Amino acid sequence: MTEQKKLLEVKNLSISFQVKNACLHAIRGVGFSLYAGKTLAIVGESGSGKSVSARAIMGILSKNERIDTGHILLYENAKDYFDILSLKKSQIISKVCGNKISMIFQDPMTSLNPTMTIGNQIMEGLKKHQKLRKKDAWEKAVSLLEEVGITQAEKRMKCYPHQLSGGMRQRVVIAIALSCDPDILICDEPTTSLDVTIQAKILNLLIEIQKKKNLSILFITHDFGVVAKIADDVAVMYAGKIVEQGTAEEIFYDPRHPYTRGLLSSVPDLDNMEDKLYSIPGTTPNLLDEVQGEVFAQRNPYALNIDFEKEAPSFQLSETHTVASWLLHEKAPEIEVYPQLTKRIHHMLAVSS
Amino acid sequence: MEKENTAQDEMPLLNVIHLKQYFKVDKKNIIKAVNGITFQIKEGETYGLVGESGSGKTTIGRSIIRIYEPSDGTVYLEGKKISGKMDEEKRRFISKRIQMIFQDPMASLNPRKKVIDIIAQGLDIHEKGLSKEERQKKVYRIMELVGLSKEHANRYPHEFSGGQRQRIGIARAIIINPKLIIADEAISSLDVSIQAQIVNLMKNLQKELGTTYLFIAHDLAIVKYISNHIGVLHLGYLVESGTTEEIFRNPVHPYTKSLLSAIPHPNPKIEKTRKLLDYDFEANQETYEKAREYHLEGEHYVLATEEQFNRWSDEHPAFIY
Repeated sequence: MTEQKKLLEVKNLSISFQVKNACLHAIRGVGFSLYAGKTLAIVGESGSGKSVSARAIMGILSKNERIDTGHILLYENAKDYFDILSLKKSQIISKVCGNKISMIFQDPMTSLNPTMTIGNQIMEGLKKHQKLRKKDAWEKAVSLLEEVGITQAEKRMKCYPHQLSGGMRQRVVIAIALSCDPDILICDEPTTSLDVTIQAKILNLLIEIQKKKNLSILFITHDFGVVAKIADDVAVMYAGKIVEQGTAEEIFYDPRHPYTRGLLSSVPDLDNMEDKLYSIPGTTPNLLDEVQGEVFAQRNPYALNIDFEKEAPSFQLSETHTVASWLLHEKAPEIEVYPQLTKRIHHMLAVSS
Repeated sequence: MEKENTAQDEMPLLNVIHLKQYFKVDKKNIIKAVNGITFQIKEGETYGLVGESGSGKTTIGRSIIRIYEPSDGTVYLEGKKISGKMDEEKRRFISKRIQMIFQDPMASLNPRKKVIDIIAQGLDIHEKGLSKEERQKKVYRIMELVGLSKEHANRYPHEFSGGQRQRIGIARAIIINPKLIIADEAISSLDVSIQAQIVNLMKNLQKELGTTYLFIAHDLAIVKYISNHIGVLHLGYLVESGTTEEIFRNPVHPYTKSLLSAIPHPNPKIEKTRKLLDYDFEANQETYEKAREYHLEGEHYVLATEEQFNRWSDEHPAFIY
């Protein structure tokens, strides 16, 4: 592996929600790292805790959300780093948000202010963080709009969000996120509400910007097609835990956790004219109920007895590939989990070589 | 051309002819949402209507079930005209035979009603004579069919997950045994694993009950799994239609091609190198008005002007007769 510059490291993060009289453990010991110029995709269903992890990094958790354990380390270089969780909220806003880390959200209409022109919204951050004068900020904003592929940028500066299409709005949001030259961009399902053709264009734009600026991207999504396009590394989350983590190739061509295999099986396959989709039975669990053993065991047709008793440890398959499943234990029986997926992977490898 | 004759012998369940739907914005402006769409659905089949937002796919569904008043064109269901002037008899005819499933199950289920009453709504209207026990029995049977358990009957919609709510929506639609179900982006808001469950459920129900679906969606990959026929909509025009295989094996219209090229493949090696085919519709918008439908093969049609058709024929010599 080549030398990679580590920018952010999340260590053993646990977050719980205070709901009425109960305590909901939304994130249970999550850890991952972000590297310069690389994209880490966090994949999971709704309620798996992928957005909460991202919000914790930005310090924008709600009042009832509490960080129980963990560190979020932001690196200047290998020796010089600080823990975001040790900062006060106002410090995070001035030191981290915008300058170091920016975030874009799913719905561009709700992240833009409907009563402000998009020009003013882009200039807001420039004036505050970079202390630019109005004229300079204006020029920078125009060039940012051009950079994200908006034509007639001068004219668009005076538009309000409702005058733009969904794809254009998301481009504006990206321009705002990039305005203070962050090192890390967190994208929380940025293309989910867009049409496929627009989605493809926005993803291409993100990839292009990443190359140009050596940006590190944390990409949160539930769509494996999008992951395949954008991710270098992938972390699969289920019920607040990362169940499998590895490079994109390890996850797509050699998935080991039954949940990853099940999820990949349920993605519709275009090359294959089979008429049945595979699906994981059941739904994501309610984390308010205490679960003994593996949370996924209830939905796992291949669950072992021990899955219902004890949580699985993490098994290291390669330098990058880790899987938390009892199936990888040396004493586990050899079961082929979701065998139809193996066929599909063979086909995928054949097509792409 | 032989195939065409056999297709005509069999009466389609739904026959939509030159359907137009215009909306008046103010005195000067009219939005032409649907511009003369013609398609048929055979009994027991699924017709997938795909297109981007603003293509008019939702409007078509709503015009058929008469949420909107169609501006022009005729719609036949089981050979009976269901467009035109509305009366009580026609309304009952439509609502007994066509039901709808919506995108957001939370928004389409009354939050203040119990599941049993939501599902039984159709029965309360169309089968008024039922005793309380019979009504309950019917609801339980349908709930079992869609994969909900009896204990769920007395709960409220907010107590369910997204996938379960969509099952309630499906149960409500099928309880009066409709001929046609219009599923408007019924699975778009669900998670991948739940999407697969609901698609499989809809397919199984079709096998069991023989229901016909008009499946409206923007996700071509899912549409492929459920549809026998596909119609591709763009700016209110049906630019290409055919069997699922014809559309996927041999897309002819550049818009269809661009839609297909935009579907992300869950295969990183392919996905990272694949080129996106862009279709600049603004340059082509005008041509739809002058275009006509050309027959390609089997049931495969494409909307084109003569010049376009000749150009595309050169690109696809094997498939155009």
